[in-house]
Amino acid sequence: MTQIHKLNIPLNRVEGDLELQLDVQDGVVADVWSAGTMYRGFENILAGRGAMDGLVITPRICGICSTAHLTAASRALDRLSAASVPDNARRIRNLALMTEHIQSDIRHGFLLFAPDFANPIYKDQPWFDEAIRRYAPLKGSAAIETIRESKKILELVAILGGQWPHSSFMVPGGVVSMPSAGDLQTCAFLLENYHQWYQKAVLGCTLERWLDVKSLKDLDNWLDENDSQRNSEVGFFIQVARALGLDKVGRGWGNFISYGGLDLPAETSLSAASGQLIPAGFAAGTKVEAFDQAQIAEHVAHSWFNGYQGGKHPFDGVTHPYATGNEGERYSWAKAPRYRDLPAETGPLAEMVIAGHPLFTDLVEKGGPNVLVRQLARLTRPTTLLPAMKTWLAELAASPNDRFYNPPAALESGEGFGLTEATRGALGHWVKIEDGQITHYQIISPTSWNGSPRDSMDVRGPWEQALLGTTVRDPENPVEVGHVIRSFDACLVCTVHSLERGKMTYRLTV
Amino acid sequence: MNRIICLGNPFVESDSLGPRVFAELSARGLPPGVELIDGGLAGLNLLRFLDDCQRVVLADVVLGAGEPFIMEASAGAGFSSVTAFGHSSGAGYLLGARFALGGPDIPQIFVIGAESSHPQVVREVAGLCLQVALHGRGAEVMA
Repeated sequence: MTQIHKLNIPLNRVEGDLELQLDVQDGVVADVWSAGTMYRGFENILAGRGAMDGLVITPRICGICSTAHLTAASRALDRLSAASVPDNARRIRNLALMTEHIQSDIRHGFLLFAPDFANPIYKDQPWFDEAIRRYAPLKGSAAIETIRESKKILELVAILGGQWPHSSFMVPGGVVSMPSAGDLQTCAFLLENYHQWYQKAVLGCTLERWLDVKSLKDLDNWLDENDSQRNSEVGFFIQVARALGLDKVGRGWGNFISYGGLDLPAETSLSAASGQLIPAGFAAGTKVEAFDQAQIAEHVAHSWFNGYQGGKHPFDGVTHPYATGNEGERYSWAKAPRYRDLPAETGPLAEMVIAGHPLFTDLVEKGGPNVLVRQLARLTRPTTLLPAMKTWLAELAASPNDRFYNPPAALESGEGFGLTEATRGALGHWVKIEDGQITHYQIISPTSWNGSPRDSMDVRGPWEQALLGTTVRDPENPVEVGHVIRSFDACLVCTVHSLERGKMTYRLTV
Repeated sequence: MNRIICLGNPFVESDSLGPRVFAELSARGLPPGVELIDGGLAGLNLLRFLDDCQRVVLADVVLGAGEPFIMEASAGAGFSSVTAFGHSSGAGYLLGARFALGGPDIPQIFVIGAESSHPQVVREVAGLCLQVALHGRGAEVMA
């Protein structure tokens, strides 16, 4: 006889609240609804305010991705005002955003994702005691080191941007402060310390050795090469993830999107064909195509907003909250962003696939997107960022008297969009200004892409799709659902409540 | 240097004690050697303010506290049932993280809390914060 469980899993996230509703049949997820349960209203708060107010208000959207929101807001105004951003300002902006990435990647990895390996459901696994030793909250070696190292490296943003989080040091045309030689020396010291720790603890090898891993076969060889690599955080993660079969769950649609980010200075020793360290693109599988922001549209057919047919581009989009009470049709306060009417996942794995990173291209071609590859991309993203950070810090130190700000044209009227890669993926701001006031503001965050509800064609969002087929051994402890959702780094701390046929049976703080 | 960190959300009445204490102390002015921080909801990002000083006082709502009270934090005190990192981890996780990091320079850390944010309670907690920041243990007797 088929056993059907209906699980409601509320997920408290930084941008708002999120709840998953799952139909589980015979221990397997058969259908999923991802519901944003909180209307935040930032876009409507911005309407009618001064043209520059987005630089102060939008970094408050998120306590984790505030530099990314500041980046998107300032880039939108850069475009609107045809500002010319000097090279040193690009370096400062990039360094702050990259710091946000590399601290968040390890916090997510070892404070949010990996603690699931220490879930009591795995107590009989041979690696369980080691998982406890590494990841037990406030006790595990990786947990404590992550708190220490992420605290230290964030000082770099505070030095360059005045504070973290919620700083507002980027403005159209550049940045508002010039670091001293002493500031830059301190930044270089902090970065070098992080680099050394990351190599020793997370990789168990040098960045160069890791960047030589270009295929699944290389990865297996790297894992077998020595104890240092095998027992590193990445090495241990791969072994446990494979033991749990996480390379076979959480597949999703297999579409990827990156808005691109980290503009290269005009004069720099780094090079990139796209002019950005992280290229923009859309990919179906590993087939990458050029990105065109005009192809983005948001649907509201299943969202609690005043309805319109099909999708609307963010310049035309409206955000009029309207709770219909029709729970069967509309179920989320989040809209459903689509690219050419297709759902797409975003984040480090999408960045790697669209950049043509050989390892992740090979892994996705051989095994599709899955929990392991998504998380591996995040854990190792610092390997692609740290060398560029060092280069740009050195270039800043060598050009202290160059410009950090070029006055832009007056922000009177016009429209602009600012796109970047936040830590969790594609982030965009679209703004219209008339007579110096904001008349229209639309924001699409990475979690909006990954956690979107169904669209006008009733097509599921990325993690709704990724959860299908997931085995849930114990409805009272659905740790497998946590693995899949956390592989998207949903920018949340999840208090997971399983409701079995309307009765709360378990609460797991993760 | 001694430091007072006020925690909470001014837009949520039941969590507004810390911000109200911050406003009260800002209006009173601070004696030399005491620094005042609006800690808001910054959670683990406040970790750096638990370094490089002799004494830290956290002002926050404590449910079930009744009268304003003072507690000295110490390693292993079990500050909170929330031991996992995240948005809901709060002051308990912050304190737990500071003691977990260890080191020889952990400041004396006190929590001063109350359940109510009534103006009289706010004034009382603000006074206690100042006394403890200046004099540490035994300040409640002086207050």
